[in-house]
Amino acid sequence: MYRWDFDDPARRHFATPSSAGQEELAAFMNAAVLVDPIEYQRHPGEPTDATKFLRTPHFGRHHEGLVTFLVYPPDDLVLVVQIQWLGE
Amino acid sequence: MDVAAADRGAAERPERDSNARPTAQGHNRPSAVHTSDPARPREAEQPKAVTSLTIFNHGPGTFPVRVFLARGGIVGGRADAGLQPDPLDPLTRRELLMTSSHASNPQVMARPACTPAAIRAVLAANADPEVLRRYDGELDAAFEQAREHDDLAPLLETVRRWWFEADAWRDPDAQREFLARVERYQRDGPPPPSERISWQEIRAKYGL
Repeated sequence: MYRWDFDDPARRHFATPSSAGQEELAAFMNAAVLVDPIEYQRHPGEPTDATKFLRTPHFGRHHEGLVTFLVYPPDDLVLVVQIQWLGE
Repeated sequence: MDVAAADRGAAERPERDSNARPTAQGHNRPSAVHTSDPARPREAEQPKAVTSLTIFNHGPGTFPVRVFLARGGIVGGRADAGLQPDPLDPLTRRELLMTSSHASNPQVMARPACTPAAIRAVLAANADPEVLRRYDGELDAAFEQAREHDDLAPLLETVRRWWFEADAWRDPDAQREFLARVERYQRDGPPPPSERISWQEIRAKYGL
């Protein structure tokens, strides 16, 4: 199973959303890692680049958040690099 | 900096349709929906229009555009050089406020409103030209798609997606650092464990 890590800037980003936003992101991460972070909520037009695995899906009840992460399948690692929360 | 204002045409809004919400409010480049001749006959034939949305742009080569909405979607559009934004209009004032620079740090702009013009203002001020060109192209395509299919959903989705991009470009130095960091991670692999923090540690810290 994949594990989530945050790089240092993303760690600081995590403090930005409200607690509700943090909970929404936690829910997203729990779901994505259970399914497959490469495919979870991938929309039909989203490009698939097997060499990069860079994803920027929305999260939150009304898609108020956007999380950018890199997936490293050999290491079972998902690295969060940016979190944006435009909700309350 | 571009500043846009939207003016809902009360004269064309004898009845308000809750299903036809004029939510798209700005567009800065001439596109088919602005200039195409087919739009004019459609407008002339559209007595069923229940509301209109006027889009003002202040960039060079741009002009106000009025989009006509009816029950079910967009029914026409036309350019109107005589239209002027009303600075007392709440939407105008809101966009002026939302696109102004951050007072304490001139490098970081205030968060833009989720409108095409406010988003473009941030991108035009801070992003690389290629980013702005991509935004204009995608917005043109979404606008045209919305008009062709009488469906605002693609336009709203495009605007919302670029809202996040504009939010990131409010601080151009941080955004360029982010792009360089991602490129480095893709090229060289993830940072060493000493420069990462696990999800378990964050959950413990924030009580999640």
